[in-house]
Parts: sequence; structure tokens; C-alpha cells
Amino acid sequence: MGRNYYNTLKLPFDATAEEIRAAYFEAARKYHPDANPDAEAQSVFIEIQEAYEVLSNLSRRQAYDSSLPDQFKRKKPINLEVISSESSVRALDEDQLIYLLVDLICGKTVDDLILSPVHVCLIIDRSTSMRGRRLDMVVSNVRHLLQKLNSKDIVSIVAFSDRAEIVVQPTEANSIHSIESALTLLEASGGTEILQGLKAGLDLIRSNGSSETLKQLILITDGHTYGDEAACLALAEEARLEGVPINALGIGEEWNDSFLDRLAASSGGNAVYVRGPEDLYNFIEDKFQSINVIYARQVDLHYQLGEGVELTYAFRIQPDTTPLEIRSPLPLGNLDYGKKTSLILEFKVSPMAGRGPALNFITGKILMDIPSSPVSAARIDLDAQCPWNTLQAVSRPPQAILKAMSKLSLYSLQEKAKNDMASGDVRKATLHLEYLATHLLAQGNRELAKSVLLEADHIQRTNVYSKEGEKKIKYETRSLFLLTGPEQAQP
Amino acid sequence: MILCPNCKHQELTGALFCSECGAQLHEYDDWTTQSFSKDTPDAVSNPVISSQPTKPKISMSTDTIPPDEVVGLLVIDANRMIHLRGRSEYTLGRVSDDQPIVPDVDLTEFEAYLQGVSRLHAALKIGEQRISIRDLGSSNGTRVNGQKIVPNVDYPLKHGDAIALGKMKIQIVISLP
Repeated sequence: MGRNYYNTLKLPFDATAEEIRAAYFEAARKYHPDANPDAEAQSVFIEIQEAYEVLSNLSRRQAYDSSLPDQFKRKKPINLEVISSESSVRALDEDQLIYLLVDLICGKTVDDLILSPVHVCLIIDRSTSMRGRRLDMVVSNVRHLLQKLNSKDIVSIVAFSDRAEIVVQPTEANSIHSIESALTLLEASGGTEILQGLKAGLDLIRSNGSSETLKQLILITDGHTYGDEAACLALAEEARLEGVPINALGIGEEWNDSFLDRLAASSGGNAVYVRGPEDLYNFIEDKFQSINVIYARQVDLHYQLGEGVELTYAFRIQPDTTPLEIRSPLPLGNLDYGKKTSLILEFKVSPMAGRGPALNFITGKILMDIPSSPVSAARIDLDAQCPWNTLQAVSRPPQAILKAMSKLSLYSLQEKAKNDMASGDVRKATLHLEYLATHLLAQGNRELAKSVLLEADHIQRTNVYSKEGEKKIKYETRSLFLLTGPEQAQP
Repeated sequence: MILCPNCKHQELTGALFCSECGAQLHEYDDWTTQSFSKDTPDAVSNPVISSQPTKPKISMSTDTIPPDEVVGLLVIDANRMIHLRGRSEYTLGRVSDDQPIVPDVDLTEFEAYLQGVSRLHAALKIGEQRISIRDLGSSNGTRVNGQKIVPNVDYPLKHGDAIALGKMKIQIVISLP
């Protein structure tokens, strides 16, 4: 909020000299008159220059800091908790796995909520296959969405086929009638080029609203996009850097789930499978309950691994469940008021791992943007270490990790079966699905277990997945994480 | 490396669940919570093979246990105890007409057919230090503590374990001879 030198360079209040220099070079590269002939860029560049001159000089920075009001200096109410599957690491002469559960907890509750303006841009696929029931379903749920938003929140709508057009210019959510009448003119025809839609949506959301606006893209599609996947992913990365998560809704069975997962995850969002109107309804119900209560956005984990340590798997389990691509930074999405963002990390520790009193898994920092705070950038340091265990005793992993991993192991079984099918091994895929069904039954999840068994039967007969079964199993095993309440007690 | 007790898949040390079959890997002896209610004084003491530090509580039929008893099978639905003594291996199943090989333990009287027990369902091996169960390729499978076991592979049992032959639930009771 407001202009100050820290915000100009997107730095936290406790930035180190190293961070200040890095931020300056990055910003300067983008706005230097040689690189960016835009007139606006020139004035931005001057501001950057001015901010750097003050912050990079210790005494000038101190003088500047003391001129700022106290609320700038307050520590951010965010806690980081890291739990390891082993309380101490055994020194083994073979590789071993260790799991970390990382919880980022927001100490501010909804009562402290400072409302930030919201801009939601819907990107609706209007290709031929959406004609009829699907498009109707989307249009009829837009009203539900508008009712969920505050009346002053901004909505815009882009429709795309092989090209994109703006159906609703950024409009306040309370003008339901004009938005709905614009939607009735929507007609389905043409192919699916997701890039066109994303581009138009991102441009629209970029040019509207201030830096405090919580922006969000919602992509609704039912098909494959052809040839522009790489460009879409690059765009999603750009969106992440600007703090705009993309949530993707896949309708029906034809859409490319691994692509939409990657697209959504790399922007900090999430992909959801929509089988019918109730899934769409529930998505809006969940997502827009929380859009006003986003405390921090663009939460990114930048990390380095310790010597002899390899990060083999990363999975975000809250606020929504998405496998993450292994690279620094890991996009963690949003942090809501009073909630937490959690992820599970799997490390492979080799016998060559560095000695010393403790094993260092991962060090790094979680950076985020808090729109309601006077210095909007914030940094939380992460330093996960575990002492070496000389007694070779086996410790019992904490319940929280076991619980999360038991769910994750089901999701992994499902992934395994998919990979088996991709490599043509029907027998193994069947076996993995049967194991999955066994565990689901043991947990009392009869309905999903039954679909899994049906699918196992289907692949044995036809040697291919049924498209519906494949998606159902994937997204429902994933949503098992969301059911971790007391009602899920062991039978 | 650790070996999955269920499917024999090799996993890296530290893995919590088998990546092949999803079974929880029991490298940690004491964590299974046992929730059997105890309604009579515990006649079984000092389990033979279990290394559990605490004595598990189990529900018992009111029968007193003969002194040379080593293994008892408690058929849970009927609340009846079947005493096994004198042999090192028992086959479990049900007897039906024109069947050449009959099982050592006939479960017909417990509605074995309706419960999905095969004629030759499983074999129980009783050794000095170890008791194990092996599914003999039954139609409806065998479970140990809810976990389906792979046919024709021995699976170790300990005092208090619940096995299921098809739908028939049986608890293993082990005492010192």
C-alpha cells in the first residue's frame, strides 16, 4: 500500500544489502530506458534509482527508516512450522527418504480482515464442443459467482475459440443484469486455443485495478489446446510473477488434465475437474468464499538444497491440492486470513550427505506479497535441519506426516497406474488400481473404490482408460486431502 | 532398503508407505493402535512372538483355555473360540460335497459359504518363534488387519491380529504352551 522505497523495489522491510542490490538490478533491467523506451518506464526507472540510492546506503537507509511510521516495522504475523518424518537422521550407507511437512500459518484472523479490491476475469471457452448444455451451465453459474462477490468487486469476461474477444469489460459485480445480457449473446463455434484466451484475460486484468487489487483468472474449458502449450505455460509463469493465479476448470472428459495442472500450478492456482453443474457450483462456493480473505499472494519458496540431498517430490496439500514441479521457486499460491498453506516435501538423502552436527536439508526463503500491508513484500526464512542420530534408533514419524502421506500414497498409486498405462503395461496398471481400491475400501470410501475397480475392469477389457474414469480417479484421490476432519476417523 | 511386508517391493529406508501397493510400512513396531474391548479377565499372557512392550487387550470368549493351548481362533461374529493344538500347520476352509481334500479347520458351521470362505482358503503355520498365515489362492481373499495379503506368500501374525477370510472375521489369540 502506498509508495515507499521498499515497495518500489518490492523488498521486505528487513531486506539485506544483498537483496537490495539484486532487486535493484532486476528492476533496472526491466525499466532501463535502453531496454524499455516507454515514457512511463522512464519515470519508474527514476523512482527505482532514487529508492536504491537511499536503501543501499546504510546511514541514509537508517534515516529513512526512522522517518517511517511504526506500523511499517511490525513483524508480519506469519508463522512457519516444519515437521520432519524423523526426529534425527540415521547415518546410513544407503539412500534414505525423509519427509518434511511445511506449514505456513497466517496469524491474522478474518476479524482483522482488511478488504482489498478484487478483480476476477473469467476466460470462457466457446468452442463448438461447448455448445448447448456446457455453455448453459457456465452461464447460469456466473450469476452465482456474482452473488458471491462483494458489490464493488470487479468482474470481466473473455470468451475464446481460435481467437478471443472481451464479452464483458471490467464491471462492478452488482450490475448482474448487464453482465447476464452480455452473456446471452455468447455463441459456441470454432476451435480451442487457450493461449488466445489467456492472453486477452491477462492483458485485461493487467490494465485494470491498482497494485493492491487481488486479481485472479479463471479458465473454463472442455478441450485440448493445440500447439500453444509451451506459450501458455510461459504466460502462466508471467502471471505468477505479477501475482495473478490461474484457476482452471476442466469440463467433461476431453481436456488435457496434465497440461491444465501444470498451467494452474505454475501460476500458483489449481485445476479442478467439473463433471456436472454441482461441481461448478461447489468450486464457486469454495473459491469465492475466500477470495476476499487472501492475506498474502504470490507466495513463493526459493530454496537451495543441502549437500547430498535431493528434493524428489513436492505436493501442496493446502489450500488446494496440486503436485508442484520441482524447481526453485516453488509456487505456493495464496495464504488466507487465519488459514495455512501446507506442503509435503520428499527428500532423498544420499550417504554422501554433508556431515557436521546436523543435516541441512533445505535453506531458503518464502517471499510473498501482502497487499494490505504498508510494506507489501515479506520474507520468511526457511532453514530445515535435522541432527544426526548416532544410536541408529528408529523414531516414529509424527501423526501429521503419516496422515498426509497416507493420502498422498493413494494419489501416487493412481499416478503409477496412469504411467503403467502410458507404457502399455495393463497388468501392472490393473494391479495398482486394485491396491488403490483396497485402501479406499479400508478407509470406508466405497463409492470411489467402486469406480476404481470398474476402471481396472475397463482397462483389462479395452487396454485403455475410460476418459471419465481416469479424471474422476485422479481428482477424487486428490480431494481426499480435503476430508481430513474428525469425520474421517478410522472405522 | 526395507521390504514391503505386503507385496515384497523394495523401498528406500525412511519411506512411510509402499510405492507399489500403498501399504503402510511397519518399520515401527509399536504404533498400531489396538482397539479391542476387554470384557473378561485376560487369560492370555506373554505373547510368544509379539515384541510389543505392552500387553494388548483383546476380547475373549468365556471358555477357559486348556493349558497346552498355543493358538486360538476367535470367530468374532459367533464369539466362539476354536482351539488349535498339536500340529504345526492347519488349513482353514469349509467342507462341501465331493471335495477330495478337506481343510483341517472346517468353518461351515459359521456360515462360511455365505461369508465367502473358499473350500481351501488359507493355511496357518505355527512355529516355535513365528506364526504365519498364507492365502491359498482363495476366491475372496484374506486380510490381515484390514490389509489384503498376496496369495501364496506367508504373512507373519501376532497376538491380537484380526484376519478376515472373505467376510469372516477371526482374531488370533496366542498364549504360551
